[in-house]
Amino acid sequence: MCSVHDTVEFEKRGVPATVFLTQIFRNSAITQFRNKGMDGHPYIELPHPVSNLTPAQMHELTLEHVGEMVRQLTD
Amino acid sequence: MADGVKLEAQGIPTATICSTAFAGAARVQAAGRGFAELPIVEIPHPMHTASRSLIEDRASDAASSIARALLKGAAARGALGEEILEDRIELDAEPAALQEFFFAHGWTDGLPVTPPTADSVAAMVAASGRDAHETIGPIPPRMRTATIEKLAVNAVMAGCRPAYFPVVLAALEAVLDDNIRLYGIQTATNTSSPLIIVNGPIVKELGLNARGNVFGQGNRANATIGRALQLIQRNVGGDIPGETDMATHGHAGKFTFCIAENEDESPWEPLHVERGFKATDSTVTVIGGSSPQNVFTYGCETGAEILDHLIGALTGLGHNNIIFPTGPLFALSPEHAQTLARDGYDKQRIKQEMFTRARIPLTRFAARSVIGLHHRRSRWFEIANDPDHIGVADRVGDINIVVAGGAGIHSQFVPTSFSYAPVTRLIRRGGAA
Repeated sequence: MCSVHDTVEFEKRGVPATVFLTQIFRNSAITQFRNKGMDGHPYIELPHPVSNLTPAQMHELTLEHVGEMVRQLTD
Repeated sequence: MADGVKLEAQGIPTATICSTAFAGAARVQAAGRGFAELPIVEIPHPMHTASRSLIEDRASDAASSIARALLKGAAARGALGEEILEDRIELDAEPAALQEFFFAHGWTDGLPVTPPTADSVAAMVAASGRDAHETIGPIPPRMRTATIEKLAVNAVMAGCRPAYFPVVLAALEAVLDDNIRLYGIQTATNTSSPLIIVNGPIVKELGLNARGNVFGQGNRANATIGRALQLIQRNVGGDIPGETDMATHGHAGKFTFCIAENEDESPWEPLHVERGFKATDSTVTVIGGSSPQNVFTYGCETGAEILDHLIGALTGLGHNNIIFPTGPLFALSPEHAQTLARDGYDKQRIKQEMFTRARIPLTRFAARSVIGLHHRRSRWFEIANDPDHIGVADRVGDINIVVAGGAGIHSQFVPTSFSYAPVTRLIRRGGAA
């Protein structure tokens, strides 16, 4: 997953990062964080799929997860 | 060649004209049909790019050979001598040596096989619930008939579990249906192979993959059922690349090409129910298929936008559903299917829109291509009432849709070819698996 790869690269450079993923990609992300030496790295899980949501639905979903994103980036 | 054999069988002298690249294949195929001495007149390859004057020169050169063949009288019947092996042989059990034996005889697709033993073949036969000496065939291109036992040998070699064998046999009987045109699929330059689609409860019973990577590697049932059908075509049918199989490129589905429909995540009735079977029936559906083309609906949110992309994939030049009247097949991902269903599209409406909108103006083709299309797609020009375009199917009902695959905004357009229509067969489950 490119997003896991990018998150790890940011973290290696000292930049806090996290990844948004949908439920279906959870196991893949957990495995890839482990393989890249960041076992247990946090992520933000959204319901699957998001590809067919309207902008308004996407906006609402994003707002539900902003707090968690800020917490993960500032912890 | 097939026409030549039919005429000779009626005592009518023929001369079959082949370009040099195909003469060897024609001789092997004629021998398979019992006419090893079929008169074949060779002309230089290639023909379709040759100028009119060059073709006239070649025709003049060939005229005397054609006349000689026709005046000689009907060809005698006769097959090529073939090596017949013992039913049971003792082999060196050292694994590498064992594999070399199979490679040396040309009995593999290029990958190692599971050596068939008396016990493993007997278990395979038993799972079919059919008599070991019952025969199926003739299997093209050499038109050979095989016993259930010989077919079981190939299923073992492919790596099948015995429980898979009824699926292999149903797929074999389906591809031998006249509507599939297996002989054309096997022998043409086109990149086609029979695609197997499995439906019904057997999908879960055998652990067939209907979800992520459905056309890809990694599942034993999909991989070995498809491979068994290919090995049968090779080892029984005599379908050999460069000899009878003249594919310009071939495709990965000629190793194995077997998917299952993702009925759990489909918003619609499954393919076999649409084709008249009960939901509780287990079936195979086969059709001649080229390598699938990915349709990536990047940025699309609605069913209408997804459908635009699917239709866009159909309106490029050069795919098989322009030339063949078979009708395209789509393997829609569950996400695409669910978004389409949410926005009011059922399978019938999607097919109707594809039929109406996926039409290519004839002005995009060279004049001689248009002449060819009028020949190869004659039914379209007779019934579509649209003389300025070529559609991707002659009739709405010739378009087929299944739901298969995993998460993601991708679907597969499978260009189809040769087959007149898909063929669906019930999987007969007899013996203990």
